Amino acid sequence: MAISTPAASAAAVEVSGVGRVFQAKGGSVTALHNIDLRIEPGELFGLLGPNGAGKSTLIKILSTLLLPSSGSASIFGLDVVRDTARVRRIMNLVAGGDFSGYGLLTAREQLAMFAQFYGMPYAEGMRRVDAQIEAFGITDIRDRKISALSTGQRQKLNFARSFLNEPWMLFLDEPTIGLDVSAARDVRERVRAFQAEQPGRTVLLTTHYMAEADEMCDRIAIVDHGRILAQGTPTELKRMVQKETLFIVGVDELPAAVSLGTLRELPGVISVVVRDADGADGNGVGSPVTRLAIALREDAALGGVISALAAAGAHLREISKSEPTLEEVFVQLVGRGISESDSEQAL
Amino acid sequence: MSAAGVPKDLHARIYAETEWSLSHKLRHAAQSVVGRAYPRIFGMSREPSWLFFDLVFPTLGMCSFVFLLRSRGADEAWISATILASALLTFWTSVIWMMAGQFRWERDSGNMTLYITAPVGLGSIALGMAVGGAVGMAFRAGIIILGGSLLFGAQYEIREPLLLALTMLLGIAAMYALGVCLAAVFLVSGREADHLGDLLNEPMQLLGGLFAPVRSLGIFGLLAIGILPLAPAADAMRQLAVPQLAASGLLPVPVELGILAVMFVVFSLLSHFSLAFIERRGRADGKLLTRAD
Ligand SMILES: Nc1ncnc2c1ncn2[C@@H]1O[C@H](COP(=O)(O)OP(=O)(O)OP(=O)(O)O)[C@@H](O)[C@H]1O
Ligand SMILES: [Mg+2]
Repeated sequence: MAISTPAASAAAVEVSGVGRVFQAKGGSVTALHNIDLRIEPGELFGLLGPNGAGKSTLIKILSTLLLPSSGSASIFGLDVVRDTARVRRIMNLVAGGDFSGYGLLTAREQLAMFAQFYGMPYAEGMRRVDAQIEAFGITDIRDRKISALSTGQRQKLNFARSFLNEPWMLFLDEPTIGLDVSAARDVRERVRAFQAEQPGRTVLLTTHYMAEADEMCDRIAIVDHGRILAQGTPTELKRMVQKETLFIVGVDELPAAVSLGTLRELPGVISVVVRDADGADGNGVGSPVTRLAIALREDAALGGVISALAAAGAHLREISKSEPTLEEVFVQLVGRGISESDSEQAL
Repeated sequence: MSAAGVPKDLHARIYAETEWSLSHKLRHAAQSVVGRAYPRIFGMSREPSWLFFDLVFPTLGMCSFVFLLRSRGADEAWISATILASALLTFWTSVIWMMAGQFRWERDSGNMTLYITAPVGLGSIALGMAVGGAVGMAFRAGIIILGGSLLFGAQYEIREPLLLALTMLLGIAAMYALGVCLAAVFLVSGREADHLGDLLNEPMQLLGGLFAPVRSLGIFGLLAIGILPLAPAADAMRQLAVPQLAASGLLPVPVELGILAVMFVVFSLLSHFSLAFIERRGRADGKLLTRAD
């Protein structure tokens, strides 16, 4: 079948009207309802949602493991159903908790085996295998059998494998599940470096970890019951639950020359309230601080407030921006928290 | 919002990367076969216990048959034939143990997901599994023949070595092609297939005419020759390597060779279609190719 070169404007991922129904014992389960999604080249896009939301189902459809029941999807203009063979040449996949490979092979042999499957010449494959072992800092385990590796080591190896074919599209389905803080950090670091090396490399990530999504993703879609409830940059999503920006400004004491009323008159200021007047620092030591909670229409309005305070002789002690967390966004949209214990993982 | 620095001709470049020439595809297929065969050939010798299972057990099995034959006062020629049959049986055992259940194991370990999403075809993976298994078993079969000949002074008289080599090659190829079909059947039918595995093992050795001439099995012998590659291969090998038993052959060697060739072609075609089927079915129902989690 002849395929024309995809339009230069094609997205990295284009999903239109994708639905997926599974036949299960107790009847049919609709895992995805009519999903529309567009991810631009070079983005790191996150799917955030509770168990059973349909995240893995969408990743499976995009990575050619599963057919959609309705709608269509393409990767860099290549249709995942019709151009399957081509899609597989430019993508790779890492799933969390994966124990793939063969226990009797050494780490390096396992990577070498996969390099053969990805279609590069042997010498080039071995060059990349060694480069990835180096990049992931796993030279110490390169000659150790897979069966003797820890979960974290295996998962690093799994990531190293996924970089071997230098995919334009990388799918990560809960890739840091079961990893400790430092291993998870290493892996995230590598993903960012991988994207930075070659502009256009695109990543689609699913995760349960709010902090991970917040820190890593350019944009996020919040998914539940097979529907996208909201999408946008982490900042945009947070704006949905808190429209204004909130700053906490601490001064020694509020000068008599400036009243809260005058501050409220300043351009871009929505409201000013005294949050706490007695508190010193968090431990109750040091000189007293008066903290003002200042809601602004935009960040730039802060300058006017600070100048007004300074002009009145107030001594500035601290400024911080108070942001809602993704968790709050999530709870508001989904109506419940994400699987509680999982979301605690620190960055 | 896309990241800065994304080249203007990005899509054209990516599209060009998906364009593989015929030579690229062939090189990739060959590399994939070797890649998948590697763990079977080299992995096997890494566990000391595996070596034990590979050498001691089959040799013991062969010995017990030889002693049985001797106690019955069987002709020495039958002892030679038994040793040959034992060697051939190692391949069949590996088809049952290392091929038939393999796709299910690959699915449950998550490998199947990686194979499907990689540009490698399941055909290359299956061929790699077969080649790796056969090469690994050739070593084991060699030990059996050598050990048997030394232990029991078995005699062979090979007049047509090329024909014998062809028989072995075709027999092994047909067995592994059948193994790929079984792997697909076992993956699709799940637990029920376990019984089939048991069924195929023990009674089939008899049916396969390994330790008794197929001829004495009458209609079953014919049936076995028609379905199981083991039967015509063992019968032809016996005729070719132990001339005293040539008269015990069920069919002339060239006919049996022809049967093996047909089996190889038929099982290969069936493999091809069943691999395409499991990929299609797996992508449609969502269970065959990925781990249940
Ligand atoms: N092969 C299948 N057969 C039947 N139902 C399925 C199948 N795969 C997924 N489902 C159902 O589809 C829904 C979405 O599942 P999916 O695995 O996509 O969720 P998820 O968002 O990845 O969840 P988790 O966070 O637990 O990984 C669930 O209700 C699940 O039970
Ligand atoms: Mg999932």
